[in-house]
Amino acid sequence: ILCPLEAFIVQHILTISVMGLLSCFRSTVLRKCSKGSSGMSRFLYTNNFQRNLISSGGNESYYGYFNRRSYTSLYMGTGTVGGITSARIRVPNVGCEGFMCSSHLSITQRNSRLIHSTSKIVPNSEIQNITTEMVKTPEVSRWMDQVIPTIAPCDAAEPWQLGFQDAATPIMQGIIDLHHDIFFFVIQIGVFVSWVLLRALWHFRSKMNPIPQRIVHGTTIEILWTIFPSVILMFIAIPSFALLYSMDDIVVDPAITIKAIGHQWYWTYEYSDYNNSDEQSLAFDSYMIPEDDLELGQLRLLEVDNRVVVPAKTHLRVIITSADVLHSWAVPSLGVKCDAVPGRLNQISTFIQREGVYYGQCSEICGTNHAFMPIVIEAVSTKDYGSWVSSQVN
Amino acid sequence: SFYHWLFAHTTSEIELKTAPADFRFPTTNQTRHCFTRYIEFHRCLAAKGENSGECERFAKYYRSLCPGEWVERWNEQRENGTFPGPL
Repeated sequence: ILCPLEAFIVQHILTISVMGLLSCFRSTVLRKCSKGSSGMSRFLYTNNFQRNLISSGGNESYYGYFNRRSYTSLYMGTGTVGGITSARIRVPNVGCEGFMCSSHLSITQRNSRLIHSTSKIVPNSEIQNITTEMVKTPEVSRWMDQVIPTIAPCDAAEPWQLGFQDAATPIMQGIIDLHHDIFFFVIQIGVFVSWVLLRALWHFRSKMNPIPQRIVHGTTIEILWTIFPSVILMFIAIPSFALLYSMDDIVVDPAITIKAIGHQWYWTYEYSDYNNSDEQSLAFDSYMIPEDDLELGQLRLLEVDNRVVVPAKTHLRVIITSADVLHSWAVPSLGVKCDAVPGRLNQISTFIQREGVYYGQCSEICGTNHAFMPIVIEAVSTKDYGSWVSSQVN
Repeated sequence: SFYHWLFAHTTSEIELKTAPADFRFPTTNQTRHCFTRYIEFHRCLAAKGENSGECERFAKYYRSLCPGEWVERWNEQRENGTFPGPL
């Protein structure tokens, strides 16, 4: 028979294990468990939500306390109310470790007695340092209803990655599917043509045929090798054109317009849907974080000081232009790449299907620091987006 | 709770609405879309007067589509009388 304290501890440990299993299942669905060791490099990803915005009036505003990312723990049983814990450190869903640690952090905040008794669960000493940075936030009703906490995966290329990044938009999913379909044809054609070529090289080599043939024309084979490639190209073109013209679909009215303006060597973003005059503007510059200033777990050459915050599951319009030379606004996970031409406004429409952080880079050579102007898009829920805009505009 | 009441009062209403798609400009190039919306707004002002509230809709449209620097430059050109568009 356990004493009350021991029963309490066992209950928490079991809860952590259950949530860890749920995390593993969710990770499998998101195909994140297979990331392996490379995922651990983002384990201690830090994302301080305080940021400076540059206003035309010279005022600086900080991301509000109210809008910090929250983690919700399961109800601890009868009499225990689930609380909201906010942390400046957001742990990505890396296998089971990330989920368990986030759960552990939220529990220890409200039950400081467990910090010492459960320290054996956390072998990494850096995790215990994270605990001291946790901040408790007031209860917000929208989080109390949520059983599974919000953890946003960060979509960036893995080291030496050759294939596509995980799709976050229907367009990118279509691109990946089209690539797989056409690759099937390409492999078949490559094997067949190689077979014909090698067979010809073997059977008509000089040792077996000292006197070369004088064949100059064959009507039947000319007809065959003209018609068959045409048919194959038609079968490739039908899905390709369907996808291409669906990308240009502007029939759907967007809910948000974002302007991305390229400079040497940074991006400026403007949200002007909420302006009441020409002077007022939600605009900010997005510079790359230098390698010396990177915190543990942050990605080299990809992090920026101000992110583009957009709502998920919402139709977006991104208008891309440049103030000096040609740039290109490209985010692989969203399947978008659009040139930024000075004096011209290029429009792309996109629909992000899942919340997360998506990385891109300038894709048009634009000078010495072309490699140092990344793009970071953070897709959040519509409510979080509203809170973010409110904190910036007011 | 007290905090919920406190933050509920400080959070303003944000409406997710922007300039609609225009069938006059179906392509990727939206430069003239921005230019046209700007001209439409100022024609509306000239027709209905500065104090009319009916033109605010067109103002929302061109502010969503046009970069701030462009609008600033066009405003300066209008004041100088050198704006190239048909106002």
